[in-house]
Amino acid sequence: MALAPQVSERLLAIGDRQTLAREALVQSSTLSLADLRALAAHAATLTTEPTPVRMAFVHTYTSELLQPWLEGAGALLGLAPLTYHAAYGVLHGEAQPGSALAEHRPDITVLMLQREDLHPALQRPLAALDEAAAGQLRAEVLAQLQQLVAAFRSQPVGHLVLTLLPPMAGPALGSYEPQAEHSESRFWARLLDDLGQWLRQNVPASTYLDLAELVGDIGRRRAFDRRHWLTARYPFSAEASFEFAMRLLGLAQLLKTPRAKVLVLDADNTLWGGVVGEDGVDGIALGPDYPGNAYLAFQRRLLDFQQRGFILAMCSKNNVADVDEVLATHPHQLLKAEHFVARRVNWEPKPDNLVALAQELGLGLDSFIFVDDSDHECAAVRARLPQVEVVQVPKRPHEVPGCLDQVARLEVLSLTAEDRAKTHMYQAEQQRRQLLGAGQAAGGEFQHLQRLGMRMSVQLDAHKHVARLAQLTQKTNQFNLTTRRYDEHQIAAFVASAQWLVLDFSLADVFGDSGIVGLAMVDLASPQAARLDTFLMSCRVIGRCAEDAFMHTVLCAVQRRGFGVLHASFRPTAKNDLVQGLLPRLGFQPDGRADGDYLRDLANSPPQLADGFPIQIDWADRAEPVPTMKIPPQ
Amino acid sequence: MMLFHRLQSVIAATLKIDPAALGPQSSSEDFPAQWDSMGQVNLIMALEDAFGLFIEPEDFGALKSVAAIDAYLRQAGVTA
Repeated sequence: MALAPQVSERLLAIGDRQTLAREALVQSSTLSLADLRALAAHAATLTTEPTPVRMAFVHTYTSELLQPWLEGAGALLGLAPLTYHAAYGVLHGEAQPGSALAEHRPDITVLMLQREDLHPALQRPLAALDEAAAGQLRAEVLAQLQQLVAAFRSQPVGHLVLTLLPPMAGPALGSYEPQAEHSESRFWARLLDDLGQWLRQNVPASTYLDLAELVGDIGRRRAFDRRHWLTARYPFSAEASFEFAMRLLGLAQLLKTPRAKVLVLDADNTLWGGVVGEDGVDGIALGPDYPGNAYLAFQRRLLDFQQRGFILAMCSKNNVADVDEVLATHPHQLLKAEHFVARRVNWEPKPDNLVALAQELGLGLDSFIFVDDSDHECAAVRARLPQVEVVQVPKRPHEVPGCLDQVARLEVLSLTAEDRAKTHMYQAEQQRRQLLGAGQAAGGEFQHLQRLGMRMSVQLDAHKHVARLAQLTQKTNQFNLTTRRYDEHQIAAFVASAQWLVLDFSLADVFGDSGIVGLAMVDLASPQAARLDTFLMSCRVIGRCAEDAFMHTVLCAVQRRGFGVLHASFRPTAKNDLVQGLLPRLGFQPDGRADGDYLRDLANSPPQLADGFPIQIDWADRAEPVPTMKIPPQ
Repeated sequence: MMLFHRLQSVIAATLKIDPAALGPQSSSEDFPAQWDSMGQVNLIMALEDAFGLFIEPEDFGALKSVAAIDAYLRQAGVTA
């Protein structure tokens, strides 16, 4: 198949690359390779500079035929993939130091495996196996996968993406499969569940990309082409090739470009059908019947994105009272006031509102996804704020519930406790600001910070925090002395190394717990002097003296390990002006070698508690347990 | 000639070959880097898309020159 000429013409007239990428996915059922090439060429004219991404493929079926689809998908997502395909069937050989794959220095390594490769018994029907035999086989297959994954993970192969080719045939036992006592479906469901949990707990920077989900999404009969499978060992139809390539490049986009964090939602004709100011609270379309059920389904989907760790904000041209009334009283309104971390309901230009929202939330505009039905508002935001991704809500209600499903940046590579609790954390922050705002007049800064009753919990070399710590190095731009980005694999290595101190903290107060929001990493390799490699903090806790308290623990930890000097540096970027003066303020002296290089002489000026900070520090430093410190304010 | 031009554009777009370099006598041997076994699979898919065909695996191997594809298409009832 190929795109109908009018569809092709419409896509080639789209002037926004991100919209083009999403629309291409909507049309994937008829998109041919030639169509993709044409769209990719158009996308290239809409991209100033594609971001290079180095990819490696290890495969036991043909991966090279995916190549043109990878290039096309890359162009649509603003990426330039540089690919290396290992020789067919070579697995462990590439998981060695100095292998051609390692030399390629991939950002992403994709394992394209067939189930049958994992164990000879998998070539035969599994339904004949009894419970014990199936359990034994499952353990062996899992062990085989674990061994392979661990071998690659031990090498610098970037983010590891594991895939298993789903079966091309339907269930072995036909319609009876779900009721059967023993079945292949159950065997694989249980195995993949074990595998997923094992990956999450033990393998940093890894993703199981579920091709069965992809095949289910487009349909098994459409996903495969047995002619190419049987003649060229390539299983996928054009449609599945494109979808697979877009998912892989979507992961690359998450790794290589700014993360999305916020969905900014319009209200009228987005959260509900109609205009509340004109139709009234009772007149808007929202409820069990068409078209109101489309908007209800969309609200339900938005809650899914919130569960992934994206926060919701509202930006609507409306009377505040009307919107408040819908949120509070409409019987079918699913999203309530507490689901939004911030709302801008007024008649100001939306770009101005987005700038204000970014400031209020302490987030960059490049982390915003703006969702609105209006041509005018979408155009205004694209023109004034090109760093904001704009998604126009479809006019046809039945297309609304799925309108964000093609946004690759709404995928996540990990899900931490912080992600799940993010909305609550931002709400606590708003209450905190109100309290502090009220306290400004009443007393000094120190005194009003005291009202928060802050407790800092510091952890050393916390293996369990690796995913979050990597995320912090990737996401933190403003309060970051050196802006060194590390993936989970690298962080895990620092945590395991005796030559590095990895300290993190979370901050709790009367409004809630921030989760892990700060990271310091100290290189102890040189016996003469320790070096502060990384010192960063999430914007969420800025302005609460947390940096003073955290640096104090870092200095104490370094000093107790016998070091007299801690070197540190400030590496300026476009976004970290905030910390330009931090090191001198925290007692570091310029070391006279280069601009931005500092040292702290711990022998002559040991860490002092005299200045104090209104934070109680709890920490467990296994090297030498220290009693809890409580620093009373002066 | 209409058929040749359509064919030329499909082959060129799929294999990333300059259309001007593709003549009625061109074959896979003239473009070893682009029209290899992988290119051939992509080309089969593209021909099916462009001309609304279903090509049997037995015919995959024969369609390795402009003339062979032209003849195949005419036999399949494609005229322009």
